Amino acid sequence: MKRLLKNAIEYAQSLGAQYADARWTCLKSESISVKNSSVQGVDSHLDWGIGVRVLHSGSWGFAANPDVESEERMRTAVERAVNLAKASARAGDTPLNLAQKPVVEDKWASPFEEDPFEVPLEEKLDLLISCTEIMDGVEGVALTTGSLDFHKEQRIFMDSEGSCVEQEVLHSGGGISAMCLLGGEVQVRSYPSNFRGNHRMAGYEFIREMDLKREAPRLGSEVVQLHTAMSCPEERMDLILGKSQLVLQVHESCGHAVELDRVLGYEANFAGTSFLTLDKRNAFQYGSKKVNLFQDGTSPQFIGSSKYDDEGVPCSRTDIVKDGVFVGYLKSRDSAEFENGVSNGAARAQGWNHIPIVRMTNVHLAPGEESLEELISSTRRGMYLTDNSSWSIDDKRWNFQFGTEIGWLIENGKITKMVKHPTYTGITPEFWGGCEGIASEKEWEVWGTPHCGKGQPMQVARVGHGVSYAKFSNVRVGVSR
Amino acid sequence: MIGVDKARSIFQEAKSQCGSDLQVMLSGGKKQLARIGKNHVYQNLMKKDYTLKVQVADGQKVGNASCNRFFGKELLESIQKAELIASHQKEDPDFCGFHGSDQECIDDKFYCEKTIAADFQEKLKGMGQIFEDASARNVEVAGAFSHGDSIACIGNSHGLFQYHVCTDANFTLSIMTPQGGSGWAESHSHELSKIRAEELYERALQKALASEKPGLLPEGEYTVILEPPAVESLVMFLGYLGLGGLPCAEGRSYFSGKVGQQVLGENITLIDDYLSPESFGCPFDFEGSARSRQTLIENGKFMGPVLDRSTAKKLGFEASTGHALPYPSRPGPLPLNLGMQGGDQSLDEMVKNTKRGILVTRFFYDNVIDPGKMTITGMTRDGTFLIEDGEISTGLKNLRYNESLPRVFQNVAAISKDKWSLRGFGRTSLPALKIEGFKFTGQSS
Repeated sequence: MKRLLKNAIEYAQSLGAQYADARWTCLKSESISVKNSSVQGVDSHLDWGIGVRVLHSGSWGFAANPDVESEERMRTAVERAVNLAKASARAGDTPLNLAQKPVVEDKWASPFEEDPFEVPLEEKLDLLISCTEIMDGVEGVALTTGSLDFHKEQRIFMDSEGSCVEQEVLHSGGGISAMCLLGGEVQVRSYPSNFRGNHRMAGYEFIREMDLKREAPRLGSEVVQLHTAMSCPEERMDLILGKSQLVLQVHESCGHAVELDRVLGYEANFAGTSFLTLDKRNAFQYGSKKVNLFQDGTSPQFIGSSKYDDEGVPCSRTDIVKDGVFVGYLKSRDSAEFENGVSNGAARAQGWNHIPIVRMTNVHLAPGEESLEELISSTRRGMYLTDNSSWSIDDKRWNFQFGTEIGWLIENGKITKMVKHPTYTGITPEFWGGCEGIASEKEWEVWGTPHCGKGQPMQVARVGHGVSYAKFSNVRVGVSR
Repeated sequence: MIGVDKARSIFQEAKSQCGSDLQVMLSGGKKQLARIGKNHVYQNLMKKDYTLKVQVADGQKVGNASCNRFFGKELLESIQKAELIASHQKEDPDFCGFHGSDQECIDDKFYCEKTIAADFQEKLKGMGQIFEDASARNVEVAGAFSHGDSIACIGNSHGLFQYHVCTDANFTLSIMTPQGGSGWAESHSHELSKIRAEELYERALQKALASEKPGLLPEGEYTVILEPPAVESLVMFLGYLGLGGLPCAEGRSYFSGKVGQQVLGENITLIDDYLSPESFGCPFDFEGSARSRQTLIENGKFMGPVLDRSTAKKLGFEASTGHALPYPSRPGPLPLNLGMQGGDQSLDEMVKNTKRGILVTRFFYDNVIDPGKMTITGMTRDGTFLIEDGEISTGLKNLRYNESLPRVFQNVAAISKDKWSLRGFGRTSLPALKIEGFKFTGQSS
């Protein structure tokens, strides 16, 4: 395969390309779904191919080719990529440049203990069926689901600068949920989070660690209780976010906001732009002094990690918000040239047939010093919300609204009543500016979101977030009522 | 493109290698797409990608395996994987077996040879004038221009063979001004020649210039005029949450048990019609059932959801309406070609007839808050305007709405006669709507 990639790159250079890279990826995945103690589906998928990207006359051209066996078709793909780049250059004269990067030759594979593709299907089905049976057994529960997803991806990247990187990642994930329907009202409880659960760079040991069966009775009980819970009051109050909700808050209001291609206007037609414009770096108070956010493409166990990104740039840890001040972006090689000329290894593509774009790797909220108990006990009137059910944010990542599956009212430092259909809304820097406390490292946890959409054609990325609990003051809750 | 003959030979080879009950689905296509940003072509790509999905059934046990290889060793491996899964699988009580048919369906009604033969890159070159004009005006253009073809093919060991091919061309662009103005326009068709880039540029530009220095508006209930792309966001959620057979069968839909009842305003008629030229849909579904034209809401009355074979059985209907998604479908069957009956006014007349209201170009990042009440939220984007005394008076900051869909569609005061062909969750054909008392709860300020 490396011979084919090398030939493709050399052929692109012979056609006048300033730069060329070729990327082979092979994806193997398995997806298992169970509903109401019955199997809903087992899907196994395999695909592979090569994507060739060339920079010619200052413009990108990209052609994806599934026919990896044929040297002739590979050459056709290279010619297409070169012709596309030339056509782009003819339509405008804004030549792109690439930030410098080291030339590397390396191999890397993510660690795991137990290959999920070797675990018998019966065992995986039995786990999910037994979980749904437990939840189905709770009176009032109408619908129950369980899912397991496994993702193994091999990648070989080579470029005209001499880099050659071979990588392999393995991700495992899963979750369960229960739904209750009464009088036209729909309530849902999930573990460890909604929308097919939590995902980690790990093997089947992560599924065992989650212990889905242990949580099934609680979900069944809570989802029925939600029907008689109080409705979310509409007022301003303190807000404490549980981890699975804080993940989405970080993802939407920070992670996407610091993608440099958005800031530059390259995503303006689809995913949008960002309020964190270039003039704001080192000069904008994003949050309170307690807020420290960073991106780290090397974090162990997080699904946004690898050793190199899809441009062969070493993944790294860089600050995004330091003591509340916005200090840095997620960058690719071409976008970095519009800023400080250094990519931090955040160019990623979905498989072989998409072009790399700026993506989140893992965007983390650094732990603070408090405990969850301290955050709650210091709250006179507030709400504890957890487990995301709804998310929406504007095209500049400024005005957001989230909903969670469940909430609890906090009165005089104690959790009192369960709350149904809670929502909250805010303006990003005002919200983070009101961050009064973040739980400590003991509570900090690995989360994975495998369905982050961006780009045209749409690409889905697998990204990670590390969070604990956090408290925010004076937040508007109950907005949808 | 994988033509009908090649698709048939893939299917025949699959059948010859499998002794079990088998169904194969082949889907994918070829696409050229140029992304535009900062007044130049930022990315320009060509991709060709097809996936073959093999389903093997052993009674009620079903195994699925998919791969982007279709012949020889890889095809055999996909079949063996699907057989292995089926043999280790538990029974699926909702599986209705593979649909048998002796009649082939070969459909290329919406395939345009000229769209594929056109020199796309030459068309792209013409964009240079747009970029020059934008730069001269000190505005920024971002967008995507694409064309390509796609196929859907399904065959099984019960005699079924169906093949559908269509072409698709799309141009979408956004324009941003230094004064905070933002405009957007989109056009799509199965014919590339119908994409008028300059007209779209002009429409987006006028919106961007008119929305400069956007003002603030207190939250509250307003008369709104939603242009068709904004209507599409709401109709898409209406279809996803309420008009599919599965949520209706499971009691999750607002419309569950309400067939024949008045659920929306009397002026609302919604039809799922794959044959509409604006929708250019597929004549069969992913079970191989013939897709039918379905009136889902007639003069505000719920006439029944779209169905696959499983939900038809659960709800006591005689047959599928031909709206199955690929098995296993978690959302169940869905209407993908929704159209709304038009009214008698033009969009301009609707604006002229409005004393005070808000004109919305499109919504963004809509999501469900309460599925039972069909309550959703989202933001306006790329051109939100205040209407005063029948005229657009000023641009507005983007607004957040929180609304219940039944309430929205019970408050429609006017419907435009013109409908737009839109591409979102499926392909739709929708008019502009004037809605009273639409609830905004916040803004980007």
